[in-house]
Amino acid sequence: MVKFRFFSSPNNSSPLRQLWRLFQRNHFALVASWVFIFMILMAILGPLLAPYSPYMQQADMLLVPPSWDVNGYIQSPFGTDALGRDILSRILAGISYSFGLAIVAVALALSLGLLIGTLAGFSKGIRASFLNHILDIALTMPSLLIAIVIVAILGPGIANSFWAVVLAMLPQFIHHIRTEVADLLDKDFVIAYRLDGANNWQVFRFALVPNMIENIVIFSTMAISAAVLDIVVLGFIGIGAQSPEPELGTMIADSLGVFYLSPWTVMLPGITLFLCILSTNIVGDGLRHALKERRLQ
Amino acid sequence: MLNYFSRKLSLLFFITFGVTVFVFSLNYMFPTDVLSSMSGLTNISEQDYLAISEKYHLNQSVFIQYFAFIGRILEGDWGVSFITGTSIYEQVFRVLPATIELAIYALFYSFIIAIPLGVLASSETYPWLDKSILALSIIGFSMPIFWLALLLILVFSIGLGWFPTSGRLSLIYNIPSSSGFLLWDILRSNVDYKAEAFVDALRHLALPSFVLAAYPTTVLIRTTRQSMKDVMNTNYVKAAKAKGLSTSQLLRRHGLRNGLLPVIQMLGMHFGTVITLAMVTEVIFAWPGVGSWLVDAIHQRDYPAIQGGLLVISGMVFIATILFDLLYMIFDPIARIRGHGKI
Repeated sequence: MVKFRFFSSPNNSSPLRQLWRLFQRNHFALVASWVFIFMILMAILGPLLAPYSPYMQQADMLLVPPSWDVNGYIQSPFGTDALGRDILSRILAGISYSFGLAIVAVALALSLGLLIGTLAGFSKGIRASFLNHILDIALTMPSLLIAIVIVAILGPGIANSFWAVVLAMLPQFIHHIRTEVADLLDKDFVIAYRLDGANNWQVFRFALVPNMIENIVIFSTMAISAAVLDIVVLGFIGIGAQSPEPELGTMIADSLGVFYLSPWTVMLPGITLFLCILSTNIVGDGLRHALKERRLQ
Repeated sequence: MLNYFSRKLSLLFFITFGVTVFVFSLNYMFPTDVLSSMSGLTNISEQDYLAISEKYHLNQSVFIQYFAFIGRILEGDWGVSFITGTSIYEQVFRVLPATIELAIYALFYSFIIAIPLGVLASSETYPWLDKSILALSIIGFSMPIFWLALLLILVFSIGLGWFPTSGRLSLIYNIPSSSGFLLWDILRSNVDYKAEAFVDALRHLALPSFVLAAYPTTVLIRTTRQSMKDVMNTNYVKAAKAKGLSTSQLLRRHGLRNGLLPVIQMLGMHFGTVITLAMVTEVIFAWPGVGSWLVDAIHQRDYPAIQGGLLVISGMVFIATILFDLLYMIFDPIARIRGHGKI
């Protein structure tokens, strides 16, 4: 630790901007954040950019290798699968299914968790203790298991697996936000703010949210990668998205039969998936490191 | 200590209550007749209906039904499967040992790999080692487990032909099943191809347990690294170093003892995840465990089987979590003063 900084001017920019500046110093994380943003763009625009419909089958183009192979065609850059469907179009649609839906699921779970967690953080006594016990149970159950249970009740399908993932992640968000709120409410600056006459809403809006936001962002980033994995695994074991749908896990499961004959049908969706999760994890990790450094300053 | 122990026991009681209530309420949530999902009988004739609903206390209040349900669970009467018509209790406990076997070997595996790597990564002498181990662990963490399994199958089973792709044991060996734990059964059996069967079982185990170990290994590496860094910076370690202890002495006497405590805790926290990942691994490697059995049940809408599977898996996860917690508490006195929601 350098104790004397002669050449640094006092830093008056906002905490989030400081966080971003520290984050940028880590080049791996910066590149990963570009990939992450690119994947988000693809999740939004992918279905529009796709050259074919993900469901269109071309009987004369079965198992065509990718275009960089000698036998490949430029019409389908990533080749086609066993039913002659263009893999590029399916991957583009698949990103919005697997990755896009995961982000929406995290956003939904976050807003519900923020609501319930804050209310729980404000509450005391028997209500809080009751919630603690419920959370104790729910947190012990891994989220994928909860998701499997919920899908078992609702039946297979992409919509049901989306709700299953939201519900499965909710306890973690509630717990995280509740502890954070309960910790912050004991802090002196919140008490001082209360003594100034702030009501609950003002305490939440001007004292809690600005202090929680960084942690929430980091937690949500990590939750996105978990959500992608959950959705994809549900699709892969056949109880999430169903067969013709271009969800990445389902695509991989569908192509298992031709895996040894034409590995690109499994490898390309797998690599896409891996990139989505890896970039999310590296961004989350980089943010956490940046936050740690900023707290040290 | 006793106080903590009783708190954990009350938590266990509360959890058991919650899980059984949930599993019981599944009877009403499944899109089928309540009586058939409780008993597992699909085509109940009108004459039998009254008699059977009498047995299941269906015409009485929900509370009575719940207690009757608990009674049946304790007796081992878990209903019969929609598909095979055989007792679910027997089915579940026939497939359960395979899952436990897989999970335990994977955890053991990751323990052996992760602890030395974590300790190496925590040393400040080799920063490049730290970076490469961390990079490896984040790659392992981001790898979807089924994709990793497929890659390994492609390379080691199809390409090199070292390991078999599926199953627990080659069909040419016939091992009488007594405990369900295959390696143990082989050791205890008195067949003349014992050694060959044992090696074959190990070869079948290699890929699934490696795939399953990927996730706990990455988590353990990061935990070990962080906690070793913290411990090595404490004053008592510095004092020991000033006293003239060598690095290995430092590690053995002070570092590992304190640094591995969070690892036990992490193992407990992630045991549930390992079990769910074991379910996915089982599906890929056609491992005859409770996971692939449950996924089959979900596919076939076999509601009594889903209930039984959930009960067993969640029960196993809860008991293991609490056991790990108690273990942690025995080793770390400071942990006994803790609040809720930190399992």
